[in-house]
Amino acid sequence: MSERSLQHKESFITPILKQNPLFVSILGTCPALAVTKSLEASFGMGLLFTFVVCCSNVLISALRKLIPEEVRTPCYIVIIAAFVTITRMLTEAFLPELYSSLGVFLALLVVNCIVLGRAEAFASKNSVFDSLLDGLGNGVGYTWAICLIGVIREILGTGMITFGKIFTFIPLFRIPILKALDGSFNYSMSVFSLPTGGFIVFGLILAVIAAIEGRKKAKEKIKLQAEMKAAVKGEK
Amino acid sequence: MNPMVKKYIKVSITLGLIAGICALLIGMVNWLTVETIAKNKILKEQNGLKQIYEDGNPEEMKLEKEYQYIEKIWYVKDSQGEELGYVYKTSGKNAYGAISMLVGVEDGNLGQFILLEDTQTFASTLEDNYVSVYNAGEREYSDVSCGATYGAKLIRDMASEALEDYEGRVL
Repeated sequence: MSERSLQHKESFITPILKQNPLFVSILGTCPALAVTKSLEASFGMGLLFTFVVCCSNVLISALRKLIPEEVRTPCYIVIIAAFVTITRMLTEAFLPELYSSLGVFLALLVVNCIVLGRAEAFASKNSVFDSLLDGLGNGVGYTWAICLIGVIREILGTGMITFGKIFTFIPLFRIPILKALDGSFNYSMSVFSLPTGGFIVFGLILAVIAAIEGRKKAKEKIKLQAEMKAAVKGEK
Repeated sequence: MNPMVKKYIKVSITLGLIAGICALLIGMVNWLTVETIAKNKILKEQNGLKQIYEDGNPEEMKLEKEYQYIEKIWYVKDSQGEELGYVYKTSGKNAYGAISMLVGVEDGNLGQFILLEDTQTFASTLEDNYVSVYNAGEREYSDVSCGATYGAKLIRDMASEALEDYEGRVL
């Protein structure tokens, strides 16, 4: 694989797992806690976020040689705000339920630190294609992360997963998963539907990730020590 | 020309160009979506009226005075011409966003609340914790709800104005 293709691949893959904006860089946590009440809302937010970050990355990268250094941040904010406004209009027209469900958090994408961060750190220094891939990678990384929080909160909060409530073009159906103590499907634990539940689930996921990382590091340390011991023995 | 002046002119032209590109994009999307958004709003209003009085024939009334929240009033009759009740479209704002909703009033009592627009910070919380619970008959409208307290207070005030107007008309 050529160096250029490797760079393209890196731009797309790295933000999905290794440098996940939400779980690794802990950015964009506000909407991740507020709108992840259900899988559908999380997926919708992820889609819109991906659209905004891709479009703003592409335009900023295309204009990077034209934008004066001294006023680059206001320029980035104007471009991001324009794409957020466009996204709001399109969502209000074609996905009104999603628009209502996201509320103010759709408009707040203007000040989302991932979008501005990618513009400043990547799009302003790289080609249009690489910036598009970076935007896509960050979008996919953020989308799967908030969908994971959303699915856990929806199952723990309502005991089921509902489809068709926000994306009304698909028929409404529910997949019951958890049963109440009396054996019926009338399960509900409203704390997980509130922002508190978002904090709890987000904290638990971060704890699991930290535990996995810690175990990985410990294993690497043991391996390194064994290699050093073997090298010392060989010298003797 | 002074190099600083030259630089200022360059920066101004660049900023103007970027603002122009953004304005053009927003203008194009607005032109594409403005009709659909307006249609969606009317459709939502009509669906709300149907949800409150399924078999009713709503007749929009002329507003005779200025209200704080009430925007439209419908007098609803059934197919035989018998009165079913009134529906009020109320809209209000607070520091957390705007709310627009339909309030049904029948025999001096508040009926269903239908949210048409809700841009409160935790938009869905208000619907789930307050409006749905009220519509299910499990809450008084005068109660406010934790998690959506400010939105709930605004809804209470809008519903109270609708009720007062109904009482003024009928009693």
